Amino acid sequence: MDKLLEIKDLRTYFVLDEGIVKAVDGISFEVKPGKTLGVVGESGCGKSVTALSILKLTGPRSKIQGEILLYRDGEVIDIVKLDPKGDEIRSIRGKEISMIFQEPGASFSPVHTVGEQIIEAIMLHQKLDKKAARESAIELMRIAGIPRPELRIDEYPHQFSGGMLQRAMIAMALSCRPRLLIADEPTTNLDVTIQAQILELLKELQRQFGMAVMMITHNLGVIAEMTEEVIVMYLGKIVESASVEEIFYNPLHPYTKALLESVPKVGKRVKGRLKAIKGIVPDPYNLPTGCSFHPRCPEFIKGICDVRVPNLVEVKPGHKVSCLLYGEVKKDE
Amino acid sequence: MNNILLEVKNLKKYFPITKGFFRKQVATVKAVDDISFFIREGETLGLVGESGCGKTTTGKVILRAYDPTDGDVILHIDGLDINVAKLSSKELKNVRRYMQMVFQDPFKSLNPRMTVRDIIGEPLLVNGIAKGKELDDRVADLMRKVGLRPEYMKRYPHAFSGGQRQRISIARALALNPKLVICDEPVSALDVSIQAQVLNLLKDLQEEFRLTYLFISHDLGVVEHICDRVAVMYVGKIVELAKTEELFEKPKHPYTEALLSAVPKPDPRMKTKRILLVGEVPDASNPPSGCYFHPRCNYAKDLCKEVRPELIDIGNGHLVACHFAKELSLKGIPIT
Amino acid sequence: MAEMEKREEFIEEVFAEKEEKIYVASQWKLMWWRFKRNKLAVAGGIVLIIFYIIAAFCEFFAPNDPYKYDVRYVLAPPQRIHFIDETGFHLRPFVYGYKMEIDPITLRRIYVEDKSKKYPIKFFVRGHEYKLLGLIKTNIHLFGVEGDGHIFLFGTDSLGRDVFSRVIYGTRISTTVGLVGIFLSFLFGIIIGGISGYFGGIFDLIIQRIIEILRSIPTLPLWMALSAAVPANWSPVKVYFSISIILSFIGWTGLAREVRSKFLSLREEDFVTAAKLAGASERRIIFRHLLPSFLSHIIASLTLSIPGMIIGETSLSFLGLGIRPPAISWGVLIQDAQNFRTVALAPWLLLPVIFVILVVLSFNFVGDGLRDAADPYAK
Repeated sequence: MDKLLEIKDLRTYFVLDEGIVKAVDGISFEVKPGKTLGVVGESGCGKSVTALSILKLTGPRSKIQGEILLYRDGEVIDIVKLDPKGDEIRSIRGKEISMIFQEPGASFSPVHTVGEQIIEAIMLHQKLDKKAARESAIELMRIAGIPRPELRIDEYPHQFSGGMLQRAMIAMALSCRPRLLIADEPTTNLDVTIQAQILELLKELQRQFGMAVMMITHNLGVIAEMTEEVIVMYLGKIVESASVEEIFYNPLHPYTKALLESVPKVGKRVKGRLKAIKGIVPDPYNLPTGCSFHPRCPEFIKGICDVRVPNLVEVKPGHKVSCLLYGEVKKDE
Repeated sequence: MNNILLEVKNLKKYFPITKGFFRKQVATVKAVDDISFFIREGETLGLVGESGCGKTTTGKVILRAYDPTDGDVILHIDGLDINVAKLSSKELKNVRRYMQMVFQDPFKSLNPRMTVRDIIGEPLLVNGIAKGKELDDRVADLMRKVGLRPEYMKRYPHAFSGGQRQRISIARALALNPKLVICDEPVSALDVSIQAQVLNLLKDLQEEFRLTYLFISHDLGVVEHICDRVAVMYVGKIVELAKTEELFEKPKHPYTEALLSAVPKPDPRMKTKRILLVGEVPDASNPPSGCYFHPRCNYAKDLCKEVRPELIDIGNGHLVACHFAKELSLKGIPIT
Repeated sequence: MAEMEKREEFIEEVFAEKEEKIYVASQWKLMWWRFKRNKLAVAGGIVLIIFYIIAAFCEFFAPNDPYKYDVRYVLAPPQRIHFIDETGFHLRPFVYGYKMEIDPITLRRIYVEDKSKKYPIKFFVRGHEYKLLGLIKTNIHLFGVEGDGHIFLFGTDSLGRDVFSRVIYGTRISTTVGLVGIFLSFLFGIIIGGISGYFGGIFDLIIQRIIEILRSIPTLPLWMALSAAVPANWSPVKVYFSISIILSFIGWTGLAREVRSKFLSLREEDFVTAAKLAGASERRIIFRHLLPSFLSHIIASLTLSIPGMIIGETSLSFLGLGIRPPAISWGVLIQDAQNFRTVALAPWLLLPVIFVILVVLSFNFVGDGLRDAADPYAK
C-alpha cells in the first residue's frame, strides 16, 4: 500500500518557564493518499500540535524529534530535518500539505482583502500572472461555495461571516491542489447548519481533488461521518487506532469506550445519568505515572496500570491499542 | 401535571443601533421578537437555535439582566404572580433569589480576583443571609453538593479546570435556593469527557432541590438528553415547541427538520442523506419578509414570502409557526 | 445515602496534594511574582526607592548648604577623593583643599589641590542646621568634612554653590511636584470615566464631548499663559504646584477614556452579570468587581505617565516657565548649564541630566514591568 505521509515516533516538546510540556510524546501513524484520517481527543491531548509539527509551525520554543516522512514522486523527505524557515518547507506548505484552522478569522490579515490573500497564495506556488491568479481565485471561491465570488473577492475578512470565512480559508488551502489537507477543528465554532454545509463541501472537494484529509476534532459525530481511519489521542499519546467502524462498534481502550458512552447522542436517549469519565484531564507539567489514563480509568488495575507504561500494539489486523489489558497479545507473539 | 412556574408572554427585546455624533438610532436588532412560552415546576425546557437567534438574550431578559422592551415574565411562587418584567429595581432585589443563571464560559463567569469562598458566598452576603463563620459553613455545604472539596474554598479560580469552575458557577447559582435556573450553554465550553459529569450533576441537583431549568444550548444531543420539552428559536422567534421525543421524531417545522438533519451522527453506519440549508441565518436588524425562514426553506411557497405565520397549537401542546405544518411530512430522528 | 455515594465519584482526586501556594495567591501576589521575574523593572524599582528616600531626607544627604554661595570657589571642578597621601594608604578617604590661582595666559581662575590642607571624609558630621522632615531640628549630615573644609563632589556653580548638594535638594521638587497633578488626574479620571462608562446614556454623551473639547486645547501655550496669570508674589514652587494642578484638570481625559472603555467592556462580563443577579448593589459591583479588575492597569499606565511629568517640569523650568530660582529643581540646575561657556569650561554642571535620565528610565522600566504584570490571568 502506498503512503503519503508517515510519522514515526514523533515527539514534540515545549520548553517553557513552568517546565517541559510533552505535547506529543512518541506517536506513529500513516496517512494514505486520498483517504481521510480522523484524529480525536480532548483539548490538550496533542492533536493540534501533531498537525502543526507536520508543517513545522510549532514555534521556536518547541523541540521536534522523530521522523515525519513525506513521500513525493518516489523520493522521501523527512520534514523534521527541514529548517522551519527554509525554502524547502515552504514549498511543502500550501503545495503538498495545506491546513485549515478552527478560527478562520485568525488566518486572514484584516488589512488585506480576502481576494488579495488567496491570490498571493496562488502566486506563491504557481507561475501565474496576477490576472490569471485572480481568475483562479474566483474559481476556487466558487468551488468553495461562496456565492457571487467575483464581487466578494474584493471584500475584507470582517465583511465575511464565520461560515463564509471558513469557505474562503478552504479556497485558499486548496489553491495549489495539495495532496493532504489538515483540517483542525474546522467546524467547531460554526452553527450546526453551517457545519453541515462545510462538511458536505469538504467531502465534495475530496471527491473532486482526490486529496487526503486529516480531520482533527473532538466531535465524534464529525469523526463518524467523515473519516475512514481514526486515531484516538490522550495526553500526547495514541491510545487506540483502527478503522472508523472498529472504533465505534468495537472500541477496546477504556478511554475510547468511555468517550463514546459519555457523549449524549441524538437519536439514542439515555435514561437517567450518563456514564461520565471521572476526574479531570491532568496537569501537563505533572503527568501520572504508568498509563497516563489510569487515574480516570474504570478498569484500573492497581500495581500494574500505575507502574507500567503501555505500548501501542496491534491486537487484531488494523486495530492497535495502547492498554495493559491487552498486553498479553504481545507476549504471545 | 405540575404547576406552571414561569410564564413568558409576548416578550420583546430590541437593541438600537446608533450612529454618529449624537448617536442617532438608525436600526433595531430584534433579538427577542414577541415570544411566549411557559415552564412547569421541576421541568427542563430546552431553548435551541443557532448563534444570534436570541436564545441567550431571552434568558437574560427573563432574569432582568437586560430590561425587556415589552412583554411579561410572570413568576408563580407561593400563590403569588410576580411580573418580573414590570418590577422596579428595588422590588427586583427580593425576587432575584428565585431565579439564577449558570453561564457558558466558566473562565469568564467567575471573578478571577475573588476566592471561591467569596464567589459562592457573594449571593449569601449581599442578601444578608450569612456572614463570617456561618458563611464559610454554607459555602462548604454548597461545595460538597456540587462535588468540590470544601478545603478548596480559599483558592482562586485560576486553580481550577473548566469543569471544576463550572461546578463553582453552579454552586453560586444554588446559594439562594432558587426555583428557576437558567443554564446558558453550561457544557459547551467543556471537554467532552467533562460534559457528562456536569450534565449528571445538573440532573442530580434538579431531583434534590426540585429545580426548574431553562436549558439554552445549540447541542441537540445534550438537549435531547436533558430536556422534557424543547423550543426552537430562529431570528428572535420561537418556530416550534414540543415535547422532546415528539420534536425529535416528528418535527413539524422545516427549520427543525434541517437542524436535526445537520447534526453529525456519531455512527459510521448511519450515512443518511442530509437536508442542506442554503445561505445563512439572516441579520436580525433586517429580517426577510413573511416567514423569516422562507429564503432558506426547501418547502417555501409564495404565501411564505408575504405572510408571517403565527405560532399555533397543532394538538397535544405541539406549537409550530409554519403555514404548512399540517401538510408537510418532515423527517425526524427515531429515538431508540 | 446512595445519593451521597454517587457524588463521591465526582469528588476530584487529582489535586489531592496539599494546597499549593499558587492556588491561593491573590491577584496582587501573582502580579508581584510576575513583576519580580522582570529584572530590569526590579532594578528600576530599587533606584526609585533610593531616589524617594533621598528626596524625603535631602538635607541629611547633602553635605553642604545648597543656597550658600562662596566667591572663593566659583565654578570649581569636582574634588577628587583620595586614599593615598605621602604617608601611604588610609582607610578613611579624604579630600584636599582648593587653592585658587589665576592662569597667566587665559586669566581664568583655576583650582589646584592644596596638599597642606587635608580634610578626612567622615560619616554623620555636623554641618548646616536643618529640620529633618520639617520637624526635628538637627545639623547632622550623612557625610562631609569637618571644620572650615569643603567637599564639592560635583564641583560648584557660577555662584560657588555645591552642585552635588543642589542635585540632592533638586530631587525633592523634581520627583514630587508632578505627583499631585498625577494623583488628581487619577482621581478625576476614575470618577468621571467611571460615571461615563457605568451609567452610559446622556452622562456618557456629555462627558465624551467635554473630553473631546479639553483634549483639543494645546498644553504648552496654556502653560505659558497660566504661568503669567498666577499672582507674582507667590513663591515659585507654589506657582508650579498651582499650574500642575490646573493642568491635571485637563490631563485626566486620557485616563477617563481608558477607565470608560474598561467599564464598558467589563460591565458586559459574565461575572458582573452574575453579581447583579445575586442581588449585589451597584456600589458593590463597582468597588468589588469592576475597580479591582482594572486598577492594576491604571496604576501601570500612571507609572508610565510620571516620567512625562518629570521631563515636563525639567523642560519647562529650562525654558524659564516652570520652577524658578531660588527654588532648586533639576530643571533649574540644567538651566544653569544653558550656555556654551559652561559646557566647555564647567561640564560638571551637566551632571543633573544624568539624574533626570536615571529616574525617567527607572520609571519606564517599572511601568513596563507593571504593565506586563498587570493582568496575571491573561493567557
